[in-house]
Amino acid sequence: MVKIENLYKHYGKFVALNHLNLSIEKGELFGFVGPNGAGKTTTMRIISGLLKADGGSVHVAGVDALKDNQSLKRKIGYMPDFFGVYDNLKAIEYMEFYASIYGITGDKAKSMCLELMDLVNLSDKADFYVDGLSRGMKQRLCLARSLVHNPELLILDEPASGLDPRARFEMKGILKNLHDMGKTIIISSHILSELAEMCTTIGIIDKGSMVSKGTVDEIMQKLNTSNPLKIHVISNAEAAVRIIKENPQVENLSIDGADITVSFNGNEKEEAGLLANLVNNDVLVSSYVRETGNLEEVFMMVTAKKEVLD
Amino acid sequence: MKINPVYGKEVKLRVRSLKFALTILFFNLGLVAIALFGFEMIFNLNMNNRIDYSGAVMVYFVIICLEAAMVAFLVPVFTAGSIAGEREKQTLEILLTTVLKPRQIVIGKLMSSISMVILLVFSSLPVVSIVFTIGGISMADLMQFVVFIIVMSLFIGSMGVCASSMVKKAIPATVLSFAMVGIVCGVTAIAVFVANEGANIYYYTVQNSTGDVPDVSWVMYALLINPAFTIFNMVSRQYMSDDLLYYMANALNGEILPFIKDYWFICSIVSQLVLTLLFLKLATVFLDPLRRKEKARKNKGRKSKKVAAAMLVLLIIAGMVPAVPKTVYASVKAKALDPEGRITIRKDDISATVRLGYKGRTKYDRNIRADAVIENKGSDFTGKFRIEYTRTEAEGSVAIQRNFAAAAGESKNVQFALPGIDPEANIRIAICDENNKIISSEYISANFNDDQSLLYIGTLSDSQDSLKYISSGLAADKNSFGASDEGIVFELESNDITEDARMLDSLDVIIIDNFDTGKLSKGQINAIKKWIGNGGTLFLGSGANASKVLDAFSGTLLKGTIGSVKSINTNFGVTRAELTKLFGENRANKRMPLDITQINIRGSKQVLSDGNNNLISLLDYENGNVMTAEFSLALDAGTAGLYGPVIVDVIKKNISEKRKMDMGLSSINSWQSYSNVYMYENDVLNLNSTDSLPNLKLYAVLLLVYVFLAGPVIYVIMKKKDKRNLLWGIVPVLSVVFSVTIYLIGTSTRIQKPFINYVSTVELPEKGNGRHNINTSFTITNSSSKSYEAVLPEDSDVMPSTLNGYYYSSYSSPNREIDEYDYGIEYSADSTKLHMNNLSAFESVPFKMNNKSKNTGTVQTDLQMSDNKMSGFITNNMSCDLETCLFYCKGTLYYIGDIPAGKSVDILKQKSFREMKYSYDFDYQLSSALGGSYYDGTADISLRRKIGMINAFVTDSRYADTWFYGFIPNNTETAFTDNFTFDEYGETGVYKIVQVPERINGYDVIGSLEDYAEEYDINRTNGFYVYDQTTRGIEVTYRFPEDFTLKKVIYNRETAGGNEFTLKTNGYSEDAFLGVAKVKDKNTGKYVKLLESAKKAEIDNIEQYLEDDGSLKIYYELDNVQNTDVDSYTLPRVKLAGTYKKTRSRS
Repeated sequence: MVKIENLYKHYGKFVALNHLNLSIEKGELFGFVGPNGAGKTTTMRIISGLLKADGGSVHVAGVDALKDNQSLKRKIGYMPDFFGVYDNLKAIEYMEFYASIYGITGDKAKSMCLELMDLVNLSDKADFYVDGLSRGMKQRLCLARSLVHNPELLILDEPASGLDPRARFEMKGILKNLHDMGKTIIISSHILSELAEMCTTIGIIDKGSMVSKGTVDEIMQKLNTSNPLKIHVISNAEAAVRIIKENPQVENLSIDGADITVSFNGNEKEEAGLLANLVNNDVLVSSYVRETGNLEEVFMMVTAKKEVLD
Repeated sequence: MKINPVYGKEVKLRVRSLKFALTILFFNLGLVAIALFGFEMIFNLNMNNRIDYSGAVMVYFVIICLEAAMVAFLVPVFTAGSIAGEREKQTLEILLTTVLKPRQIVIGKLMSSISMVILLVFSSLPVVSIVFTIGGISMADLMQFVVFIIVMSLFIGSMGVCASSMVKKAIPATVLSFAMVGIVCGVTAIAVFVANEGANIYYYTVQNSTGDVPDVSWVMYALLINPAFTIFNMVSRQYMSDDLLYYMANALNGEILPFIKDYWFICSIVSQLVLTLLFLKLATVFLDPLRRKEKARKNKGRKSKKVAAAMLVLLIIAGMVPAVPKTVYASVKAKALDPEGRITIRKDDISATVRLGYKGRTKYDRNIRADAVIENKGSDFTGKFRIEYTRTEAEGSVAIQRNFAAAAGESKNVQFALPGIDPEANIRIAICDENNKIISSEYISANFNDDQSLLYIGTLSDSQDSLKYISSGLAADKNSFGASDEGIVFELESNDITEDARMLDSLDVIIIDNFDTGKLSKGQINAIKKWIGNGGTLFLGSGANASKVLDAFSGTLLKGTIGSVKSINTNFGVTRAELTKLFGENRANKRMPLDITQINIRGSKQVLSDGNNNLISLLDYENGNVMTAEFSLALDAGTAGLYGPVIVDVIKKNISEKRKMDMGLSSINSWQSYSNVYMYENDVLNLNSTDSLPNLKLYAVLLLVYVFLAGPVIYVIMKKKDKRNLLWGIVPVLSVVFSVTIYLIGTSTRIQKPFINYVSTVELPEKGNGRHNINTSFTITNSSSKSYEAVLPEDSDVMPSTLNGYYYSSYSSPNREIDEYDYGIEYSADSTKLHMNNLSAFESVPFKMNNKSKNTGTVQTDLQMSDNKMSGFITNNMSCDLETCLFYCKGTLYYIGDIPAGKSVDILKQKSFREMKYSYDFDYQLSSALGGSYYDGTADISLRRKIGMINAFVTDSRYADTWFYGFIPNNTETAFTDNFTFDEYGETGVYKIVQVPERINGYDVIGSLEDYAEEYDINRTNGFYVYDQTTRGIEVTYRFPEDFTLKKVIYNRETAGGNEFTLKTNGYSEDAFLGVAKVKDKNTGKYVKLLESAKKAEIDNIEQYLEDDGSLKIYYELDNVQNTDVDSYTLPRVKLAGTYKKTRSRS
């Protein structure tokens, strides 16, 4: 559905996107994660046709997004991170206004808009003035608004930011719903956990490049591999160190008395092999564990010392 | 049609709030107030019915200019916030991710931002339409304004949208858009100013004031993009029809392309629309995220400055489309006339030798004689001789031209009179080809500023040298007129006697001697007669040439006999003492030989005789007179040296009263008197009927109904139906409906074609069966600034009037055609055409015209006053009825009313109104007689015109104490009203100055002491100082005609108005003499009381007090009344009665 290749964008000397590559399949609910300033919004704005790319290519549903702006806009629905609403407009009129942009007017527009508002649980607010709605409602209204032309791809920039837990929960439900309806959705957030629960795929971006992309499980997997093995030996620490050092999967290790921390990039089987080796060489191992991390940690790690995964 | 979604949403939003309705309401209420107040001012502050229709047009312009200003200020505010506002509200990004193209957003924003102001302007059309109740502005003019407003809104709006798109925040965007409007309007205007100044500076410094000033008129093209100038020029064309562009280009020493000049409005809106598209494109570029260049943040400020600078350059470049350089005009280099008052212009084989005035001189404010001798040395030529001069301070000009055809080798004389113009003014003479194109021209600085008191004498003689003593006599003798007076003698040739009497206007006296008047054409003789009628003095010499000189005038002017020639020796009736007294030095009194021809002219009186022989007689003719010498005025050198001054003195003493007034030699201040005549006449010509004015109350109601309907009422209705969006259509529809309604109702009062206000007067002949001469002052006023023509019969002597004055101008003018002047008069063989062109709506142009009426006959007065009782009959012998007739005799006004043709009225049966003679009292007297006052706004307009005309007549003829005045009913055919197809409003008055002989106790009354003093005449009294308020005692000498002997004085205790005198208890008297009048006893040399105020007296033995020469000296001793009120010193109204030696013929 979305194929980004070598996307490059700079603001003066600041490189915002550095040959970014990304591909999102149809029907994915893609979580786009990265710290502030990593290039999430830039990427999304380029995909949405709001920003000119300096290099690379973007294809959305077969449309060259950098060239065929008009076709692109028919395919995507975009919800920016910060947005405003028109005063003096009722929610339904707000919807109808955007419907009119796509040439949908009259009763047809009205019923369609009401349907969409129902989808975002706002059907009872149709005659409320938009500037009187709560932020969560505005967010949902804006989401509904981005659906007026039934886009194939939804691009939601930080849709949950500034929402209270209940509103987030509701938003999640709506998005899942949309996903179930078959929409391809890109959601950005700097909070990975938020996305983890609902996204089918997650991509992590930092300093203008994708650092990781995959299903939540794959990401978790990668994450675990990267965690050090923590080994507590009761005796024969010297032998243990020697054995560990001999293992080719070990990148480095640190010793703190009986505690050995090992960077080990082997898989579970090799992990088990190392343990067996230690035990076979009379090292009394009381604890042999690879820390299972969470997404936040991954995020922190990825953004703090990127070279870990290189 | 698919509505732009942005526009659709915005207009929906705007109409939602009640503010929409209230804005329409209050905006229009304000305009209604201005319109109604303006019209109320014009209609009801109409002192003397002088309704200034052009004021209605001014109201229109005030309103449209206010609206234009509103648009200019509101549009930037609305548009600047449009895109920047979305950006601020963070709604723009969303819009940009939709399929809306940036262009659509820009256009939607522009349209929605200007829709409100355009709706407001549209909603005001019914208010503006009130101008259609008067006229002056056409529907097309209004449409032009609407087009202008729409284009200006788009243009200014596009700048605002552009600024809004360039700048992120609304407030800086507003500032920027105002700056852009300022640049477009300001920079272009400044450019013109700078170019103008620059060219002048360059001329004075680099060119060292030589050559032509550089042509910088191309800078004017910059003004095409200036909406302020567009409306300025539009208003100028709609209202003034003034060629503003021409004058601007001229000031910039060039011309602009004729196409652009003629279609300036279209060119300017087209160029503004092109710029609008450019700005919109620019706005689109700035809005389009994919085309907008991302800016590094730190460079932001500098870059926007660069953009602004680029915009400025763009604007200036756009303004300066290269111009085609054309002929450069410098300021006028006027030529002076040669000493003979001539100048020649020529082109190839055609030359015109033009003469202005006499030897280039003309008295201030007199008609100017202008003629040209056109010589054609080539093939047959048909062309026009034209004189052009400046009319107003706005440099409008007037052309007067006469068409001529000169065959090969022929020479043609072309003549006409010009109205008195500003003495400093340059005039331009030109020969034009038959297509009215100037082929040769010259500017002349003519300097027509001779003092009115100069005596202009023209001499026509085959021996001009023999009349030189007249000019030396004028220079030598300055006593009788006072030290400052002198005169000029012009030696005339026969072609100096023009066939148009007005061209002779400058001359006071024409002397014809030793000249065959048979050589003069009938037209020339008639012109002389007319000129005499207007106050000229014709002095004819005879002697051996009597028949040669007199024959041409015999019959109508002179009736009598010519005797044979005899030789006498004469002292011209003067003693040595008198000669000395007259000329202030010892002179020999020698009798000189003279050939005289006895001439007996009926009705004449002697003005010079030597006791035995009558030498010079005088015949009064209308306002002027004819003197006939029984000898040839060509005196030999000896006689001329000795008695020449006596002849000159006779001339000076006998110029007409009218001329004396003109020359300021009368006791009546001529300047004041004339300005009063003009004032009255001008007033009358400015009177417009209030009957046909629009009913303001009706329109007030209509407009208020409209304003409330279009504002809150329809809003509330639509709100209830929840269809407020329809207001965008309903309000304009209502507006059009009401505009059309007002337009249609206004048709009944709208002035749609030129109209004429006129004042025609006929001085009735003494007897005469011929057709009357009508003197008409008229104004033509058009209801719009459109050009039009008025065609008059060829014999219409029409010329511009100086009522509005003429102005000095040093600017050159273009080579125009006759219909490109403010107005032009074209005399041709078969018609006289008035070309009325560059005039404002309702601008009245004054003309004077002289022509023949179809009416004949006169009014005969057979009246006498005997012992203070008037009796007799007034008979209308005219071919038409008369109405509103008045007769005035020495302070008493008789109201006669209608006199049908052929009927007589008995003066005893008429209502009489005795009053003071002074003008302010005369007003009262007149309004009592006529039952209405000039100053009463409710009086019938016809009556007010009549009162104004009588006032003008009375002011003009104050010296006449007895006159008849009546009016020819308007339905009677008169020559003037036949001439035009326009609507004419005015009156035709006829008057006659008559004399009513008065007798008391069998004696002829020659007048009263007061009449004598009031009509200051050196021959009558030295009573000029009798009004001196500081002197309590004064001696006045009364001189009587030689054939009159004073026998008796009668004092009836009358006041000046003929009312009985009563002494007021407070010591003031009213218009009556207070004091004692004494005469000198010749025997004792002491003064004795003649009479005293408030006591009737009749003194019979007055002869004993007369001086040797028959004059009476009275010493007035005024009472010591503490106030200095002039009226307290009024002379007693004492009748002077006596006998004439022989029966005088009296006219």
